[in-house]
Amino acid sequence: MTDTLLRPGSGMLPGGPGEGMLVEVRGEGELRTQDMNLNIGPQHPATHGVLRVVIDLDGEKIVRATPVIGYMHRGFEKLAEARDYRQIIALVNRHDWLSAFCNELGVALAVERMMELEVPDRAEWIRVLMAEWNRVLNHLMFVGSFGLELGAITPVFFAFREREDIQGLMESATGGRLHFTYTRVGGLKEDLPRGFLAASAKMTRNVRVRNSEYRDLLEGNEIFKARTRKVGILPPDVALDYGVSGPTLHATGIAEDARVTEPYCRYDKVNVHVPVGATGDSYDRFQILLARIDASLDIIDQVLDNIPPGPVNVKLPKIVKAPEGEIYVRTENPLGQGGYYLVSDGKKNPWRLKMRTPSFNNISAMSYLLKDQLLSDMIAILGSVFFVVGDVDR
Amino acid sequence: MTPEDLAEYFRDKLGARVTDTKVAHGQLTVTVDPEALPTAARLCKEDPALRFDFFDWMSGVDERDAGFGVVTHLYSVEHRHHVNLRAVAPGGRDQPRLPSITGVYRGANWHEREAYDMFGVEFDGHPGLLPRILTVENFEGFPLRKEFHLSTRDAKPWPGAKEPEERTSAEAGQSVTTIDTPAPVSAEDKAAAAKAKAERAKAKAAAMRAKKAGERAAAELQPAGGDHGARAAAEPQPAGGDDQASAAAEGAAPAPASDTATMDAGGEGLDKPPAPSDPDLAGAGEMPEAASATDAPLQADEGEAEETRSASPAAAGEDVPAGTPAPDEPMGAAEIADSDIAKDAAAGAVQGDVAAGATGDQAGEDEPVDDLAAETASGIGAPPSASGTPGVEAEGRHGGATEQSGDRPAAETPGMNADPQGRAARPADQTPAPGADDGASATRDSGQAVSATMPDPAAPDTTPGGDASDRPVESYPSPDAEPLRAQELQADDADPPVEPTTPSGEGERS
Amino acid sequence: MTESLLALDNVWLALLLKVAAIVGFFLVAPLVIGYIEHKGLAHMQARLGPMEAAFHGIGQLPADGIKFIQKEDIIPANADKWVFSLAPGVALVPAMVILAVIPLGPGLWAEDLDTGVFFALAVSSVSVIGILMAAWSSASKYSLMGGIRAAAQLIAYELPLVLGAAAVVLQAGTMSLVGIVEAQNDFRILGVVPMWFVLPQALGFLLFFVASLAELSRPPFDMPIADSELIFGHMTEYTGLRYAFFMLAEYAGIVVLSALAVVLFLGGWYPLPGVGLPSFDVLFLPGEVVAALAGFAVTMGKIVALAFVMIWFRATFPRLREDQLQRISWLAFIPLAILNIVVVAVFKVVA
Repeated sequence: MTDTLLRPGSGMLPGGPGEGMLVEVRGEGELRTQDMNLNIGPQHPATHGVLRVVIDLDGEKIVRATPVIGYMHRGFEKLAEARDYRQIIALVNRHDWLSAFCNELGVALAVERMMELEVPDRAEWIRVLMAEWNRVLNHLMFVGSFGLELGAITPVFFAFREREDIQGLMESATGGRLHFTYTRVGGLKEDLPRGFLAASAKMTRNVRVRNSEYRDLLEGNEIFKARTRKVGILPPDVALDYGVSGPTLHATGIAEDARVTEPYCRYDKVNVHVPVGATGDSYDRFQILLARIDASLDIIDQVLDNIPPGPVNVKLPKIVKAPEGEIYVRTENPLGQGGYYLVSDGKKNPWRLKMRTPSFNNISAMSYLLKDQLLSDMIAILGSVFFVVGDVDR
Repeated sequence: MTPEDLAEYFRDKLGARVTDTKVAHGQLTVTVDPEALPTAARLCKEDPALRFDFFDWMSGVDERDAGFGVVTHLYSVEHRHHVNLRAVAPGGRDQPRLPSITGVYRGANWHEREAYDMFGVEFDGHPGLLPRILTVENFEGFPLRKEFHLSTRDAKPWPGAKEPEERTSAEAGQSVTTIDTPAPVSAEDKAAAAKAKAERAKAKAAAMRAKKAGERAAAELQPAGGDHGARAAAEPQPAGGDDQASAAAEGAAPAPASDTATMDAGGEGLDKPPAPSDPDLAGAGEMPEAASATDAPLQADEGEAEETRSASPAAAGEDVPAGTPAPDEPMGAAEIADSDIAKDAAAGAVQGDVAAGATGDQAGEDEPVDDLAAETASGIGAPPSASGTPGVEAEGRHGGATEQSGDRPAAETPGMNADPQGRAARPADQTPAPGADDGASATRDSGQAVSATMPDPAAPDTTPGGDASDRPVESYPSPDAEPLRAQELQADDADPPVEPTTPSGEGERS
Repeated sequence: MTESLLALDNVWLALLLKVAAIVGFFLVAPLVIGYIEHKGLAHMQARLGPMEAAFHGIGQLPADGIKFIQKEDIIPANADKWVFSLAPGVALVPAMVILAVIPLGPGLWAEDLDTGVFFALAVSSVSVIGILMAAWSSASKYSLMGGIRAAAQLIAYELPLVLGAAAVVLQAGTMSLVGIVEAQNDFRILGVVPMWFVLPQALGFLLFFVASLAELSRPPFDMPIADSELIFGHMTEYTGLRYAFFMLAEYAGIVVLSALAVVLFLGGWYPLPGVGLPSFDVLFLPGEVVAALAGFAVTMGKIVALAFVMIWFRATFPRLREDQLQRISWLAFIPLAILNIVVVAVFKVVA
């Protein structure tokens, strides 16, 4: 086997179409084939956002896949260093726009733990409630988009119908539809509006019914199964090695979930069901997603039963300063483990705020997952390793 | 194992290669010898008692003089314990290098690339740190190093650098070139606004002059200083003249001892109604925030919020000629809070929803709006969202200040420096190293800061314009938070005592 | 009734009228199908679809057409310009040509060829050449991959399509499409129950229908255009009117292949098995014309029904993978199609 790398310009037909394509001619004597280098993204429907995957194709088989990230890098960590802790909350819910509440919660927790602040009981319960609604919101998005990428165009419209309702619900409490900015250090922006809990209870019933429809629509579909079963199998040890978390990790059979292993807020008071898969393929990942919606709805129901009255905020000094030191807080975000490593030098803005985002680690495993897969399977894999590009690039 | 046990275990296994262990907030940080990082990582992963199989993240941390630390966070799914594996890269700030642990944890690959991209820490044995993972390929510098400045901060300082009350107390005394006197009486509003405008224009003109002078100086210097000198001279337009200019512009803001300075932006502060040291007014200024940020449930405030909001532009004083007598605002708000609607809503909330925790009906008690109540409303109720406004409105003050002060003893020209610069400069000089050292290291690292060491020759003989030449814009002086420390300490002292927490959270909205 | 209504004495006038009729039908029918797709899909997906352009969005597709005309016609710099410009036409024309032989009602056909089936199937595969031309000349890798997939799909699905039709020809004993319709009307199961070929040829119909989906690149066989992988494959680089031509070709293809399926399996213009069309005079219309119009309505109804099933599939199924599609074709459809022919042949000989 000898590999000849032709220069750019010596492409397919001189002066004709395809000129300039970089081709690699390999093999001698046998059937000679050319690897094709293909850029998926940064603008591509399957990368929902601006992820770019450079793939080398042998026919339709991927020889090598290299994710290229950073197209959406907005330097949140740097920006955070020049803002005080209250402002950071409005900042961090932006990188993963589908899990805004869970992200801001992480920062608030980090600052609170550093300040050793006691957050009112009701605020903690509401945080759990909102975090779970946010999780449902997020998962619905991916339920829809995964189907869409596989060519099933209907589920996404159904999913968005529910998303609309839930967004309306959360908007009534937070004033935001995407970037809620509802958490504050020491509590919440304000209490829930009247009727929120009743509406929540009604909504959980609705979404539960609809969720089973999605299950029928996609999980029961033979073509869907054919497209996702045994596609993109991620072994558990590799997943851990890459720091893959969330539904993608759970699909491999590891039930590592910060809500269970290191409960924050009031997750210790509720029963959190963590669905796990068996094989770690795309189908499992999707199933986990649907199961997690149900699990979240269960948690919401428990919160509705237990939420106490009381204040939702503590009074803070005018200037919130975290004492000197460092702390790492991890939360189970919809896409996986979100973490904030906060190094403070005692000022009102952090010395260093490291955002550990689930998507970054998940996407870093992409090279492993995509190798030797078919181009069409790449879509199934990209769609089932749930990520948000803003969360990757920060 | 508890973190303490883990620390002990690490010491047993790695011996002297563990240089430090620390347990804070129940989290263990093990500092290891840089050389031993892969060994330690392997131990973490493979030792059955540790079994740190989950690679969580890795991150650089700017460790000031010590260079850059790299923290690797590992977690054990099996034992459910964490460790922060920390190593300080040898090579200081110039050439930080660490051995790579990609051979142990595959996930470290991207994280090491990120650490390189953000801090310039090189990892020996990494399969390829380039192309840079997050920034663009021809990006210069390492963004998360403290000497790297946000360009927005260079253009406009961060108003949130100081809280309103810090600023007033601190600045009133120190401000040298305060152009405007205490905020004028309301009758003179317009005249004062016009005056401020004129002042700003003047300041701008001064800045332009300074810029030209700087350019001229640069042109002259070119043969002597070569390219870099020229750049250094030409770029730092914030020459002495500009200092004055910016001081002039800013001078309008620090209306001494008045909370009106909340609205930081330059002369705009003038447009607000007067009465410095009148807490009522302060309350008015911040009322909208208090209203939106208080903890009371939302039920009642549909109408209320709107009312306050509509009042807000006038109260906030941004560009809006303050025709409305500001002291009315808190009253108005209180009235609404006290109105039947609010009460009904609050009461209904209690019945209708378990959610109704904090209620608004306490508001009535504050009806005779005394100064204290208004103050409370603004100061205490506000914090959550108070963070929003200044930050959005404009960017920090001190960024630009440190920037301009550079590693040069700016205090030498006290007359020329307005207070933020002056104050910022002093601590910068006192702070150990970062300033000067950074300049040097940055020179080598990024090439952006080439000018940092150059301009000295030009310094002596240049007056305002030339003054700039020894303050290279790109010198990445001391970490921009640093000079603030002294300042903030002062401010802290001046902080009003923290309001005691009301147990139920009631009555915050008045 | 083996004469076209337009078989006038003046050959040239007849030709002109025929061409006008075909072009008219060709331009209108796809719009009807397109509108049904817009609204049908929308309502299956819990939304309204176009509502603003005229009554319930009826004017949406003409409006889209006008929009397409206004768009800039971009030809990529590296494209093979002649081939690139020609490709939409090559994809479009075959669909129009097939219409010439398809009977849409009694007497409503342009030409009743003796080898109608043969002609229709042969011409229908030409449109794939248009797709290949577009794919190659675009000088885009996505297009190229789409084109290669289209070619592979053509080869795989042309066979079941032809074999499915061949069984019908075998049973009808004629290759004339008009003849096949008449043969269906005459067919009696066990010599008693009147029935169209869809029942005795159920397997053949299934194969034909699925294969025509694949031939048209309709979901779930839309890998050649797979919008989430190949970003519309061969159409990636097309804009404006040329792109509109491709879209028109797709919907015209739906019409044509549905019409073929109707003619081959669903009894053509006959409303029910064994039931003829009314052919009495209505007012000033002669019976012949009345029958033709009624037959046309019936045929169109059947075509729309089949097209609706295709739309329904699109709303329901995800996309298959190219290798899965090939596997289905070569390992299941083609053997089944051959089996079908054998069975039909045996029956034909025995009966």
